[in-house]
Amino acid sequence: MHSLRAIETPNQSNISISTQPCIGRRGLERLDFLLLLIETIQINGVGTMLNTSRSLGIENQFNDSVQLWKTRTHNPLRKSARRGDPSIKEVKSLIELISITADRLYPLLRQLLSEKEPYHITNERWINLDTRFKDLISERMNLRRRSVQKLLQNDETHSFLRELVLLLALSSGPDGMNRLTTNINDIR
Amino acid sequence: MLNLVYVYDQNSARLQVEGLPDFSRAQTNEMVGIVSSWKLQIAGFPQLEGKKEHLRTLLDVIYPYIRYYLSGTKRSFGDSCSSVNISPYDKGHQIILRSSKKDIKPLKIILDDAELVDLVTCLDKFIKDPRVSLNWPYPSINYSPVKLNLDNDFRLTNFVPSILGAFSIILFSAMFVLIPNENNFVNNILNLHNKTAVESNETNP
Repeated sequence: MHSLRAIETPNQSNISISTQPCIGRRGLERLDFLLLLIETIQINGVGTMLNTSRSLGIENQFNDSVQLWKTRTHNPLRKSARRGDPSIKEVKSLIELISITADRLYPLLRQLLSEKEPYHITNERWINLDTRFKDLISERMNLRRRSVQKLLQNDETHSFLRELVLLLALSSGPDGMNRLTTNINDIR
Repeated sequence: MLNLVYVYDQNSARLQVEGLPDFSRAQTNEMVGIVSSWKLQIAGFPQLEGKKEHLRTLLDVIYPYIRYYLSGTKRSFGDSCSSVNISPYDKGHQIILRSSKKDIKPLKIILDDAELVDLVTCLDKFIKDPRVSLNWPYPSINYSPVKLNLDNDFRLTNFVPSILGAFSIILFSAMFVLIPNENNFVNNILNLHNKTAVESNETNP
């Protein structure tokens, strides 16, 4: 396996964009799962993300849903996983897209994370989210993989989903992109 | 004197920072270069106030905590002597604030995930505000692309597959020793027979 170069955080001024691989397997998985979570929370999440990418000026990376899907299929847990690694430019664009979308979804994420909300309402929200997330996993991921099978177990799905919701919430805000980039670097 | 007050809001958290421009660093009248005091209000909890050192400690404790927490390591930051300490608590996060004055008991605040995110975002807004230019190094906020050393804990279970693998190889190899090699056996018998024949010839010429 060739050595992977760490993604530079957006606050570093000397960002050099190259086509070298820059992200580990677990980082790729996490980015794809975050996008899956966005789709879970928001119907037609992909369409909204494409609009966001146009407003961010990164439409060259993701000009249509096929381009976005192609980048996402680098996730090895997918049914139709793609070999190779995405470029730094693609990964940075994905992180930017997730962070900006997290800003927009922040009120919903906060409702999910808050313990102060009425219990029965929060519980119902989580059940709906769990169900939809599991459906999307069954639809897109390779079910023969042990880690995917494990994710579809009730307790595992909930704890994993909660981690993802917290990460997505912390990816919002002025320094959210840095935090997400760091997390992707940390877990690989 | 110019006393500037900037307020940063994020849902349940509100940070108010008071300060002055640092003219020695050629700052304009709208910039804060010296923090004189700050107030933090989290909905449902008492208002926190302090000096700039306390704010720095708060930042130094919260950012690494978040980084580790997101990476799956739940550990506390800030020791028992530190003015701010944060640790995981049941489903939330416990922040302990110790006053520098004697006879004042430490204040314990338990935040849920949503309140913690609000607090962090509020602090982000303060740090990223172009009107605030403090000469602080922010060592803990510097998100360098260096992997965290998360696997410090020695876990015997991690070595079980390697140990089992090594044992199975040894056992499998040892089985071959038990299989008799017929060619060798016959050769040995013949050699022994020849040797005894030679010896008998030598003794009876």
